[in-house]
Amino acid sequence: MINGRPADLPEFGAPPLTEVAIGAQFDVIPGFMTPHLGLVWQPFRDQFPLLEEASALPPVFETFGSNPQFVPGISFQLSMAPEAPRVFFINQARSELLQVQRDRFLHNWRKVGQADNYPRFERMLDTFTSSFATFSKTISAAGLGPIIPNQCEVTYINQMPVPPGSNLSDLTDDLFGQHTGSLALGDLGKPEDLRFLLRYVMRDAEGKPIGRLIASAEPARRADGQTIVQLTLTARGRPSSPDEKGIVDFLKRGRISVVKGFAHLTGPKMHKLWERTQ
Amino acid sequence: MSSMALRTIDDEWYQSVNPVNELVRSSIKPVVVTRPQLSSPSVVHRSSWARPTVDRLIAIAPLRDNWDQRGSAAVRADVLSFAWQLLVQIMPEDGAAPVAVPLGNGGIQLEWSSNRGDLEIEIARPFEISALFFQQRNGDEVEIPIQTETWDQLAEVIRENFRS
Repeated sequence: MINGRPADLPEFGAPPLTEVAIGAQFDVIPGFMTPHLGLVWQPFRDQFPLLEEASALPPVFETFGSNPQFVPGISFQLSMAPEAPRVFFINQARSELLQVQRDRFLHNWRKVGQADNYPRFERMLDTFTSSFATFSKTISAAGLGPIIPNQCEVTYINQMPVPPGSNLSDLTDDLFGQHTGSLALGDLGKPEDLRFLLRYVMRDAEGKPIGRLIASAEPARRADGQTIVQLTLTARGRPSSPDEKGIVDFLKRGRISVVKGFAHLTGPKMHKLWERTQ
Repeated sequence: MSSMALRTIDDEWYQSVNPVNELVRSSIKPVVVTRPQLSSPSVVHRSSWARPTVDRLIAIAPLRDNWDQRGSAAVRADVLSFAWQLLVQIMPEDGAAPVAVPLGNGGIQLEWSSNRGDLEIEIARPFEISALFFQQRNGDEVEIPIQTETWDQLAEVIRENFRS
């Protein structure tokens, strides 16, 4: 294992995680075409024998200018035709996958059954780094490349169901009440539900912005009909250097911001339920 | 690259430039909050530079490899997306729309011109930017490199010299 868990990181024995994704976006690999995805799959097919196709993710950049990033009145989208797909390489249990497209390489874990336990970030990072090295080697052997990373991302998705006999308002209060308690109105009481989007700037040792931690919460209905609150935390930003070390450094740092952000935003009653140990 | 889309966001209750769930498959549906029944949106602005700039980016987006018969690379979609994001974060609402010129390496150059001078921003790839301001001073042209590690100076040069 290439990384140990930081000693001061909040820890939960039973976190409400349902999906974690870590990965990198890079400059479009010149000459990379759909048939190359088959070459990329070859070294992974024993570990990830199942395949799915999806639309390619558009490029995303965390940037820092004078205007707030959310200001534009028009968003600019480019779509490619023929569209270069994104392919999922999925393990037999369907709980882990790699996502590959011509400018992304990602690794996900997702909770498929109630008994599935989060394998922990350190193991996911091991899987990501070894898989990314294999991917790089394959690209190089095909005469393509170089791979120049420009953004990295760590996403934790948490789903908290409304307990039997309770309601969304009470769950919201248990989750975020220490911050939102004062939102109760004198004549109407607590909010019925709540959604938010918070963005924090991540900075390097010199204080320069390198990325953002984005936290969002919203009520939702799961595929099985269960009403939940979904809390998503994403750390996204630029690697310190355009190589594997730069990616790993950002992912480790992003994970710390995500976990600390989660522990700060959520309340002690839920921490007990999630078996917080530090 | 043959299809492009320009999307207005007036009817959305709220939006962020970068959706947070970029990487994952979602198996849930958000609880929808209906947009309030108001008159025309009062907080969504229409920057004067946005529409012509999008038109210019769309015009160069389809250029393929060897588009100039000199072996130049196709214009990169990620560079166009990055250029748009740069503009969103540095342009004043009444900023002049830049001219977008394809470069041989797949990047683009954004150019502004006024009686105060000319500004050129070269974007070779995401986060690889250089900029020069050719300022008119008493009939002479002075070349000023613009710092691009942060974008504050770029925003300032445009705000002071290139308004529509």
